[in-house]
Amino acid sequence: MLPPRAARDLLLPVLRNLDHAAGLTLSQWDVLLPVARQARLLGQLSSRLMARQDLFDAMPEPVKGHLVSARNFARSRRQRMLHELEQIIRVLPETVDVVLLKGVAYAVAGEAFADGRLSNDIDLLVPRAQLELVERALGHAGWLSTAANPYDQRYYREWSHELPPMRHPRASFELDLHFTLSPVIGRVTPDEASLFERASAVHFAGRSVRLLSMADRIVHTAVHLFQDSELSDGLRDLVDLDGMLRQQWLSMEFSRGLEEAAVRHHAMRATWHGLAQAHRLLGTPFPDELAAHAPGKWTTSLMNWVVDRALIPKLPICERNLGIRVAGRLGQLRYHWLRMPPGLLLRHLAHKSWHSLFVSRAASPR
Amino acid sequence: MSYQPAPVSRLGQTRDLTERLYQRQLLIDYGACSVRIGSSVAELADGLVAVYQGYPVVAETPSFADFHVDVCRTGGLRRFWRPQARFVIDGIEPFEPFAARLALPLFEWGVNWCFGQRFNQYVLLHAGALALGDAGVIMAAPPGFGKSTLTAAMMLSGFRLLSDEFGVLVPGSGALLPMLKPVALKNASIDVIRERDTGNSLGPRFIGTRKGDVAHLPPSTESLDARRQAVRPRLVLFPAYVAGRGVEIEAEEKHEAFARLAFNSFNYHVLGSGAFHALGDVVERCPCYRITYGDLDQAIAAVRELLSDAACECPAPDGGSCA
Repeated sequence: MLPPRAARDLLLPVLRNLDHAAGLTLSQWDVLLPVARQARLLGQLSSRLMARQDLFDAMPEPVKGHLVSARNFARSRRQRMLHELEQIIRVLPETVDVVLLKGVAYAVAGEAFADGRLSNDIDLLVPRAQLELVERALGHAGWLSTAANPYDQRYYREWSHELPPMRHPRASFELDLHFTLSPVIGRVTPDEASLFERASAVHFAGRSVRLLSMADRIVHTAVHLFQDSELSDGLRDLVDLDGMLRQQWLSMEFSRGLEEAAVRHHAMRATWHGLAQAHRLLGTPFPDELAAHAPGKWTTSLMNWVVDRALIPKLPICERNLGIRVAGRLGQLRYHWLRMPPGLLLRHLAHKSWHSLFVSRAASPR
Repeated sequence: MSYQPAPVSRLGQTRDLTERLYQRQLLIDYGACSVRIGSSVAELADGLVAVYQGYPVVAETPSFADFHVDVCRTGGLRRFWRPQARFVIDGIEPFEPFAARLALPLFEWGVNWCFGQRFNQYVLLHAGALALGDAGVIMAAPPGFGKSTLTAAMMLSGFRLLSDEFGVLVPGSGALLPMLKPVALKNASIDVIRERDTGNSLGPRFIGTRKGDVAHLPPSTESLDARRQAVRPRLVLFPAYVAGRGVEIEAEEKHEAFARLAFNSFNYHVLGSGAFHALGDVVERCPCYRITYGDLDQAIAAVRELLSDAACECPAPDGGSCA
C-alpha cells in the first residue's frame, strides 16, 4: 500500500512543471492518474499534456488512452456548461447586472489555463437589490431551490453569500446565485459595489454580461478557497490561482492593484494565504507588494501543516492516517469559525446535529 | 493492438488467485482495459475462482492497471449479521453497500460501470461483439431483447467473444476491441445456456439481485487468448428475441442503423463529432440487419451466413483483401 505522500509527491511536481511528466514510470502513472482524477484535475492535466505533442508522444500507451478520455469528457462537460449558461442568461431580464464567476467566467473569457477544467456548478453574481427579480425569473423558467426547509433558506440568505443551490429538471449543472463575495457574517466583509464597478463587459447569449477584474477574481478565488469550502477541494482552486497569476505580467502596477483589492474587501489574510500556498506548492509567482502582509510564523506553519494534509486527494479509503483526519477536521473548523461568530456557530451546529439525528439525511448537493 | 502469444499460466492453474486478491495484486486483463483487484471478502474470492480461472496470469506484481478496485466488508454489526460489502474504485465509492453473498454480480456490474464512465477515448456501444476470423459482428440492442443469450450461445457454437456488453469502437481506425468479461445471464437465459454449456463452465447462480437471478458464463479459451486482438466490424445486427418466431431478417436502412447505434451507445454525447464519424463509417461499410428470432440455432446459423457474406463483400478500408 502506498503512503499518502505519494499523491503529493507525484501530482504537485507535474503541476509545477509539465516536463516532469516525461520522466514518469508506468508505476508512477498508476498512482498519478487516480490521484489527479480524485483532485478533479485530470482533465486539465490531460489538456496541457496533449497540447504538447512532444510530451504526449513520450507517454506510455496505456496512459495516453486515459488522457484522451479525460480531455474528451472535460470538453463535453464544458460545452454542456456553456449551453446551460446560455439558457440561464436568456431567462434573466436585460436590466439585471449579471457577473460570471469561476468556471463559467474562465470558459467565456477563453482562459487557456482552464482548458480541460471541470466545473461543479454554474456561479453567477447579481446585485443584492436585484436578487428577488432574478429569483422570480428563474422560478418562472423552472428553477427550484434545493433547500426545502425555512431554516436553510434563512441561513443562506442572512448569513451566507449565495442562495441555496438551484436545480432545473433539464439542467445537469446546479446554479449558485451569489449576491456578495463571501459570507455575510464573517471576518471578511467585501466591498460589493466595487466588484460591479470594476467588472468588464463581454458579449454572451445576445447580451452583455460581466467578468470580475483580474484582481477581484484572484481575491475571490483565494477567499473561496480558505473560507468558503472544505479544503479537500482546494487544490483545484490553487491551480486556478496559479493559472491566473502565471498568465499575468506581475508588474508593480498589477501587484498594487491586487493589494488594493484585497484591502478593499478586507480579505488580505485569505489572499495572502492563497497566494503563499500556490507559491509553495505550485511555484506560482508571488506578487512583491503582498509580502509585507505576511502573518506570524506560527500561523504560516500551522496553515502549511493543515494544507499539506487536507489538500491532498484521498486515495483508497484505508490509507488516511490520523494526521490527515485531524487536519481535515481543523480545516472544517476554520471554515465554520470564519463564517460565523461563536454564538451563532454553536446554534447552527446544534441545529444541524439535531437535524441529522432525528430527520432522515438527504444527499448533499455537493 | 498486437497479438500476444498464449500465456504460460492461468489463474486457475496457479491456484493463488485468492492469495493475489487478498494482497491487492490480482490483475485481470480484459483486453481494452485492465483492473487490479483487492479484497478480503471470501464470497468475492469464491465467485472469481468460479468464473475467472481461465484468465491468464499477466504479471507477478502489476505495475499499472487502468483502474483499481477494492471490495471491503462494511464494519460494525454488519460484520456478523447479513454481511455487506462495499465497492471502491480508486478511492471512490459509487454504490451503496450490498449483500456480501452477491459479491460477484455486483463486482461485474461495478466494473462495467467504471469502464463505461472512464473509457471515453473509445465509442462505447451497448452491444454484443463477436468475431469469426477477423470479421467482427456488432449486435446492438436495449436490455431485455435477448442480446446476452444470443451472444453466449454464439460463443458456445464457435464464435470468438469480444464482449457481451460493450462494442468498443476506436475512432479513426474503426477497429473493434475486446472488453472480454464473463457473460452475465439472467433468469430464463441461465437455463437455456446451461443446456448448451457442454463444458460445464457456467458459474454459480445468484438469486435475488435487482435484476433477478444472475449467472456468469466464462469466456472460451480461444476468446481469452485473443483478448488483445482487434477486429474490423463487418456486420451490424439489431437482434430481438420473440418466442415462437423462426428467424426473420430485414435489411435496415443506413440512416436508421446509424440512429439505432447512436441510441444504443453509452457515450455518444461525450464524443460528439468523433462518435458521429465513427458510427457513420461503420454503417457505411457494413451491411445492417434487423434480426427477429425465436429459435437460437436458426439465429446462429443465419448470423454465420450473414457474416461470411459480409466479410467477402466488404473491402478492407486500406484496399487489402478480405479474410
